[in-house]
Amino acid sequence: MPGVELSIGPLDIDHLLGLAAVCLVVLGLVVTFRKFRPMKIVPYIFPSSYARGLEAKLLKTGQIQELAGSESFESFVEILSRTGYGQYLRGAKSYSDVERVLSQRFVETCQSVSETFLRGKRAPLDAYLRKWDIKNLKSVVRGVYNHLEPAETLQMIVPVGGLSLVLLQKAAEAKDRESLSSIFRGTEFGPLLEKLAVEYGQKGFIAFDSALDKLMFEAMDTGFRKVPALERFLGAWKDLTNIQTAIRAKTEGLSKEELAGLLLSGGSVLSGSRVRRLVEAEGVEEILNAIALTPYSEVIREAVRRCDEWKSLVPLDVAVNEILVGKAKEMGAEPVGMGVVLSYIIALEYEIALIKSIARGKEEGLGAEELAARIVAW
Amino acid sequence: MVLIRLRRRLGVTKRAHELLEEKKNALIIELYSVLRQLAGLRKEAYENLLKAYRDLVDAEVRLGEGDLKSVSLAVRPCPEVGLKTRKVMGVAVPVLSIADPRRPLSARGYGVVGTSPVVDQVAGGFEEALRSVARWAESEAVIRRLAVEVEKTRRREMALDKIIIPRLLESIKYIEFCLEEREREDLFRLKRTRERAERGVHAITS
Amino acid sequence: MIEMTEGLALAAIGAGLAIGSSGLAASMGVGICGAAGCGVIGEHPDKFSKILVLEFVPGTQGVYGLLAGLLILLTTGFFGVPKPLTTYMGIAVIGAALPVAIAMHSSYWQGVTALAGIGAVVKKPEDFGRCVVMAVMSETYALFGLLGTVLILYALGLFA
Repeated sequence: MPGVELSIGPLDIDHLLGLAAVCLVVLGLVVTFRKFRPMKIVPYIFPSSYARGLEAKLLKTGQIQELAGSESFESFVEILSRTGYGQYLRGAKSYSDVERVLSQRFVETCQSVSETFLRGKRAPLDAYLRKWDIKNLKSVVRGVYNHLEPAETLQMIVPVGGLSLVLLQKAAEAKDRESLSSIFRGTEFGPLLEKLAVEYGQKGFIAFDSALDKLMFEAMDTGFRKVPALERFLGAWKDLTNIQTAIRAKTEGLSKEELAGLLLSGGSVLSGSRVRRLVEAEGVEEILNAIALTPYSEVIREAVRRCDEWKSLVPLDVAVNEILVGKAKEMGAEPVGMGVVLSYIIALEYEIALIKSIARGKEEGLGAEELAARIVAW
Repeated sequence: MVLIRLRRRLGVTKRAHELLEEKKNALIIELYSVLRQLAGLRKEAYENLLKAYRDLVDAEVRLGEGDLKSVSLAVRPCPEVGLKTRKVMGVAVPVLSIADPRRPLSARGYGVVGTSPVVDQVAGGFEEALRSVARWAESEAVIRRLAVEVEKTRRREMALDKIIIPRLLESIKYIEFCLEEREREDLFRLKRTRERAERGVHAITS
Repeated sequence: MIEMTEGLALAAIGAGLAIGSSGLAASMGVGICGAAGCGVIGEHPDKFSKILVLEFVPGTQGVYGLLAGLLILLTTGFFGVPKPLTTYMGIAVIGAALPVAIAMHSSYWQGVTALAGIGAVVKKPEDFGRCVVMAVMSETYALFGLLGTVLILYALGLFA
């Protein structure tokens, strides 16, 4: 550089400037990598695309309509055999056969999806599958307390999730309450089971069930943390559960304290003051007013209207599930990520429930229209 | 003597007959009032059962049999049906009581948050059906008891009316007739004796 | 052995940067698509060719990078008579390499698009064409990068 005579040891200004330029570029790359974290999605690419591939194989609307419109149970099974479930449906003659086949498929698919994950990346999925652990545990405990045969108890369970089939089998074979509690000693369920053994005579399963439900939501709170797509879904799920619980409480005459104890915290739209309004509401109309500014308002209002017409709570159940399906679909809207996987698992759950619903409906001779009011399609 | 006794007995029997007739009529009125209710109760029970079974199908469709079975195992057994008796016109008649089988959500036995509202629907439906079936059963039993009692009363009443009272009346009539006869005979004998006495007096004095 | 000056050394660094960075970028883009392709191929083996095409789309950036590197080496005379570059000229050539080095990272984002395209194609194979078009959109910016490099080299007068 003309006119400037700077130097630091053997390097002079030109060298330094050159070095500075290179360093700047390298720094630029490093900063970019850290800010955009492109590597973050890498562990989820394979599981997401695997889930996408499976998602493409779910039943399409046309197939569902065909199934719903089938003439009889036999023709329903025949149509079902032409879908991807065909190869598993050999000789299925009754609803129980169909239920068994579907549960098995669900377990196998969940297993294969779980296996696509690297160890340690699977936490959110495991957190969601806790739901099935809780369900299975409830079934096994109810079976043992009602002195059912182990085989009969095991028919009710779907072994996905952390509680293995072996453990559940052992629990189903327990001879009495104490041995049941001891099987789970050391786990989070141990103390709950011990408390149940004492309380059962007076209060039945209510406190036990509630404690387990709380555990399920807590597991998801922890597991879904830092994954915004999942947290949004969980928030909506909690909101809808709260709305449903509030409506049931008002129609069945639960006290305000009892209702307050049942409502979940952490809902995305309903929080704090709105939740309190749900508790204080004097009737279903006031609940509808409390949720008037939320996105659920229209659908729930319509559902309640239909409940009054039908004199049944089925429309409410259907409506809540339809909203949840929408939220789960949103979760799967990103190209890559945990949301895609969870969205698929939920889609699979709904598909299996749908097929079972139609199967049972056909056994009873329900037509397509009657079924349409009672089923939830993805 | 006997006549007096018989007359008294007739009076008592006639009163008894009146009472039985009153009892029969009262029982029939009660019977008819229960009968009038019966048709309504049977219809109500039938409709409630129909609705409960329809709700059950809905629940099976929404939840699947496995889940529904699991929840049903958590539901506490319904309170016992209590059997007491009350008296209607002296007839022991059953009263079925169910300590309101319609239970609040917090007492049925399953956790609220983890179950679907269709379970509330079907459980409540069956509780309601249970209550209306109990009321129907109760009124059918009442009717049966009352009908039996009406028949018994009617037969006794008929027996009094057609057999006992006529017999008494016959006996009374017979005794009265005999007494009358004897009176007549006595009168006649008296007359004859007086005539003879008068003739005798005449014969002495002439 | 050519006669090295500082300028030439820096120019070589520039060429290296251009090729290396875009190679990395291209591999990132293609790599994520490859992983996604592996995920779906199990259930949908019939769609292999479509998936492969989508996987290839982000790879073009690597070619541009190589091209730019070559251009830099050529214009600075490495393959013939090395031009007498001053240090500042050398730094400027690094600057010319930067558009390619940085813009080719659009490949990663193109890879994200192509990945989503793979997910869409397994569901509706008829959407394949549209997915490819959408993935190719990012190519524009990569081309701008290449254009930037050429422009700067031209502005430096190295094309003479």
